[in-house]
Amino acid sequence: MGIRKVYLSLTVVFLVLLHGFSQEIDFSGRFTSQAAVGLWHTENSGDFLKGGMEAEGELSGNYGDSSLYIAGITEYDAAKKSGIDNFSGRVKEAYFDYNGSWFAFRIGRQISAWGAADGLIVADVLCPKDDNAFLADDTSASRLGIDAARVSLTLDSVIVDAYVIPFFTPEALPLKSTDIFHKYVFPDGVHVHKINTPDVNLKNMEYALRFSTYLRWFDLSLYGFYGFQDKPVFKIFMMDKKTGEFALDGSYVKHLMAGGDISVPLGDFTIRGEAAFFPKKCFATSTFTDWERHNEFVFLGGIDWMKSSWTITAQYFGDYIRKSLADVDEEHYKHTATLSISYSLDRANLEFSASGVVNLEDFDSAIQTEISYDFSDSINFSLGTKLFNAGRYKGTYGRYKDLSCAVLKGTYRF
Amino acid sequence: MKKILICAISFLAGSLCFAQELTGYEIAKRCDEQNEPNTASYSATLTLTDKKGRSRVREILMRSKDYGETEKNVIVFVTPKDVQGVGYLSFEYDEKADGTKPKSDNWLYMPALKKVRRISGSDTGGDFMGTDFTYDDMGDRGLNEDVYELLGEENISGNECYKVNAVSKDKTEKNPRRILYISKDNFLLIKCELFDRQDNLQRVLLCSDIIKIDGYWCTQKMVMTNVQTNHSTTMEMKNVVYDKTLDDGMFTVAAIERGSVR
Repeated sequence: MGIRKVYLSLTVVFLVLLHGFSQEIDFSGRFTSQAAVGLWHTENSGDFLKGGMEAEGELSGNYGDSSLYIAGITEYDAAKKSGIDNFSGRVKEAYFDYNGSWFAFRIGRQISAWGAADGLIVADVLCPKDDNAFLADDTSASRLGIDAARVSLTLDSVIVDAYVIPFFTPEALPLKSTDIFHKYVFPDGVHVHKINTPDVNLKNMEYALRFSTYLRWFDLSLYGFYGFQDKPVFKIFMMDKKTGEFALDGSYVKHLMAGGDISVPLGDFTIRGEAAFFPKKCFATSTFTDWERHNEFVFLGGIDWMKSSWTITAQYFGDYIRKSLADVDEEHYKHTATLSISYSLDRANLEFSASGVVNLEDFDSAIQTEISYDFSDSINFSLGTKLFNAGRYKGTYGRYKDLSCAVLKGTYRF
Repeated sequence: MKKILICAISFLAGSLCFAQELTGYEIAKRCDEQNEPNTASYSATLTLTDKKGRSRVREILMRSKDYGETEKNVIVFVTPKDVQGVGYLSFEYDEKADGTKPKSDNWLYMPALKKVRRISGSDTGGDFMGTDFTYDDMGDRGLNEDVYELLGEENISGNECYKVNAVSKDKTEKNPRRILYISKDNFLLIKCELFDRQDNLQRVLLCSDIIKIDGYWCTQKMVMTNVQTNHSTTMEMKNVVYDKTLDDGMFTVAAIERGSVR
């Protein structure tokens, strides 16, 4: 039985249970229509990079301290030239949840976010990213749920969450040629031959642990993760000796992460810090001919200021790979800075926001601006831009410069 | 007869003396020291009305529990849909002996980010959910944060009230001066006029539908009007229950993160 049929069957069972056992059922969702048009200075000038509609729905039912929750999303993107790939959809979350006074568990597909960072990933390795989420606004839209069982213990200001993840969920890569990021991730002339996904067995289960405490002067969390790196590590090989065609084979490799974060309120500010250590993490060499293992240390410092209608956030991010260098397809030390400003008017119905990230080696950057207006509690329109600017070289963000676009979005919530 | 008259005059004189002895501070103190429940649980509807008469509705669930020197409050937003599931947890601390009030500890859970954020307790002057109430208004103000002066008496909506001027010791507050109209019968707040930093009248609060529930006074309806923008917010409380057993687990970051406050 295909995996899709399994999920469809489970979803139907889920909905039956929801209807049968719930004291209270709540259904909500949203329709979002959006279009992204390439800006004049890019090679996609005037082209629709994305254009279509998303429909998202959530259904929840409560019975005492238990609840059932399911959320799904479907999308139609008319900008994709292929008729087959225009439609996509997935179950974002579907879980059973029990919350007692000191004990809780959640089983099923769920999205959790770790860490104190905004928009950057330090210790937040639990849920993989959706690399095709071009216009994703938030974690819920840009992350994929994990199929896990989570057990939580709460004692006053201390929370311990333990996860067992029997089914590995990889990052959603832009593998199809119609995916917007495909050509930026996979070079021309080289295609992905296959990606070896881990077998579903006890040996390949993943584990995660979070310890958090929320105190008078600060919040502190510690994290541990043992499981697969969300992205496969690729190796290149000659697929056809006659034509000289090369291809990539990918495999998922296990790794360990130990990290933590801290948040400290200080007057009008909140100071945030986060760090993660990955011992012997696997990296492909720059020529993709082999893999190597190196220690990686990632850290972030941030500061938030919220006053009246203003919110300003600034962060510094560093990614250090111990022993590097030319052998590995990752730079030795990467560092970036982010700044985010938002201002709301008219009782938060009108909001102006701007956020940017700049790579401090190449000074390439990505900047997002938006004006958002709530016509009513149900209807929102927004107009904005996503700009990718090249630095001295193409850079992490600069290579996407031809994806710079203007975005118009309308959302109806129910 | 003469003895009765003397007694009556003495009693009246004594009563007047007693009433005149109440200072603005004492009146505010009696208002502040109203018998309060250990726990409170209610849902509230906030109706925002603009100058053109158009209205929007927000609904929240609120739970609070008094732990002695700390009061823990949790607010969960129910509607509108774009803020559904947002949870706000705050720990407020009693005034110290020196009259200062420690800043509250606050956390905000945002469903879109799937994260709880620690937020500064300084910006309590900000609007609560875009309403005419501020976070300061929603919380508990320390008695010694203001200097009080009795201005006189006035009848508000059929209630004889003391009129007390309250000037904040912190001049940077959004509303550094307020005039409180406190009922002479039961020392409940009936009306409040809030002035901005230029000492212009900015907002007016009217309290009504005051009844006793489970032995405690409950103001079921509050209307806050911003007279400068001609915008008002009506807060109506429903399903009010006092001293119901509320689990300590409800007042934790875990509860707002998991959406278990119902």
